[in-house]
Amino acid sequence: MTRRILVLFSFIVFMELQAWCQPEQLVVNLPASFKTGHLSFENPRGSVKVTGYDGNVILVTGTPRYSEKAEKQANGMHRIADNDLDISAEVNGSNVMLLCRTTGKTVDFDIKLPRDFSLKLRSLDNGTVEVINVNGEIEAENNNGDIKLDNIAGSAVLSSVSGDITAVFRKVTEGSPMMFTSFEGNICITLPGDTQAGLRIKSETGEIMSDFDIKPSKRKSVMKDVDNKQIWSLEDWVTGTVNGGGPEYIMRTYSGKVCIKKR
Amino acid sequence: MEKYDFDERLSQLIYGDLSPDEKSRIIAGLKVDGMTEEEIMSYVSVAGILDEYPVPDPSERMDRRFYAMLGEEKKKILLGSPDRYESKRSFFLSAWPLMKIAAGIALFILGFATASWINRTSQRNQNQMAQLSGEVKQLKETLVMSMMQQSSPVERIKAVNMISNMDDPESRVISSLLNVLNHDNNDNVRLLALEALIRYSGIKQVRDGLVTSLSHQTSPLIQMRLTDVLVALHETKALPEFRKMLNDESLNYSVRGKINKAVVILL
Repeated sequence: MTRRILVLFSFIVFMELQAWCQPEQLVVNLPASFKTGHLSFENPRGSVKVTGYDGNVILVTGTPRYSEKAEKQANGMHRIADNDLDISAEVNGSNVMLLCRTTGKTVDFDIKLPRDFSLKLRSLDNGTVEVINVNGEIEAENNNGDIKLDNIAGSAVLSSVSGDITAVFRKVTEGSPMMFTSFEGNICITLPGDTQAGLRIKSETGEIMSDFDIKPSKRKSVMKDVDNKQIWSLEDWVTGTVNGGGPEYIMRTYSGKVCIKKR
Repeated sequence: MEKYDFDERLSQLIYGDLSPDEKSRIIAGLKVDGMTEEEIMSYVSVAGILDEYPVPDPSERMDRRFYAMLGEEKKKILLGSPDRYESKRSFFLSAWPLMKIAAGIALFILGFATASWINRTSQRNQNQMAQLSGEVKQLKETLVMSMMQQSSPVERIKAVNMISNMDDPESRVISSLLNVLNHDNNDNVRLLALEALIRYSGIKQVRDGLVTSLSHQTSPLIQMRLTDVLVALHETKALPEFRKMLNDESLNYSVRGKINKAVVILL
């Protein structure tokens, strides 16, 4: 039975009078029996950086990106605290949901958590999404920035509208498909040399490069019924296999390049 | 019996060592039975001549031949009578055409029975196979439907890929795929659902679904791909949706260019 723990406003606030761009930190203590979990977080504006470490505490640090001098003084008084940033975490069994309120400001979040975590991250505006040293399934979306993954063991489903996608895998989950898409950015994936995968790649205007020995398959003919007529054309995707094939890795970009590197 | 007595008496008369009284009594008896004296005497004289003629001893060669023939006869008796074999053979030869016809009929009946049995068995097997494959298909569809409800995008990608490989998915599967295209919270899963739906674009439900889906999409990559697909399908019903999208000021610049071209083509 899952126990619902609500951790609210566990702040350690460091205040300085000269400037109001101090980080806020939320500490979420996980039970000692906690082994693996799933964390979801959506930043309305700003970056998200998640780093895995050997510990049992989730540390969430929110830092407003632009400094705001505490010069608002009136009648000899100066501002001690503001109410611009709230962070909370909702723990339900192994699921952790981070919630934040930033009143429209750009805040960059740095999250430290135990290594074995699956993640669902999203930055809606003006930031990058970065994940380092995590073992698990990573789902990340970024509307206007890059997505960077480094030293990952697991799988990933990543999409960006205008940013680049870079992912370096130390190990990939066997039998697990992956997908990487960007509208205007480049996609560069680094995989272990012995990775077995089936590839489905499409770049509308860019190149597809790799140092793997990829055997591209011939594009199949596909038929469409159009106004009672049958129209045959070549399938849209370029397909191929790495090391004999395996789960499908799908990559698509409209105006970017695709590269698949050997680690 | 009389004849036997007659022959016996004649034989005794010729070969027997009889007294003159007995001889005369037998001759008298034979005469009574209708033989003349000349006849009786001729028998006796011929017998006398024969007795006088020396009987040659059989040669060694004759002996060999005789024993060889005897051996053969014994063999024949042991192996079965050649006469009986001959009679059987002649019977078969005479009944051969009839037997051929009978064998033909028997073969025909046997063949018909075997064919009908095999047919019945294979029909039953086919029915069982069809039932089994139907059940497997239903199970697969139920599995896919439940996988599409999973929180993990990897599981949903797997589910969509499974649908892509189905030959004739049910309407509920198509509906759930359209639902994924319109409402899934991951753009990649949506894009993959669109790719899967392209395969079933011959179905009206899919075409209509693709048209209405335009208003649900915010990802430029999906908008671009969907526009391409609808243009390839000559789907003029999409024109009002395209016009609505063009009125949206936040529409991506590249997507706007693509839709403008699409409208020109479809008009």
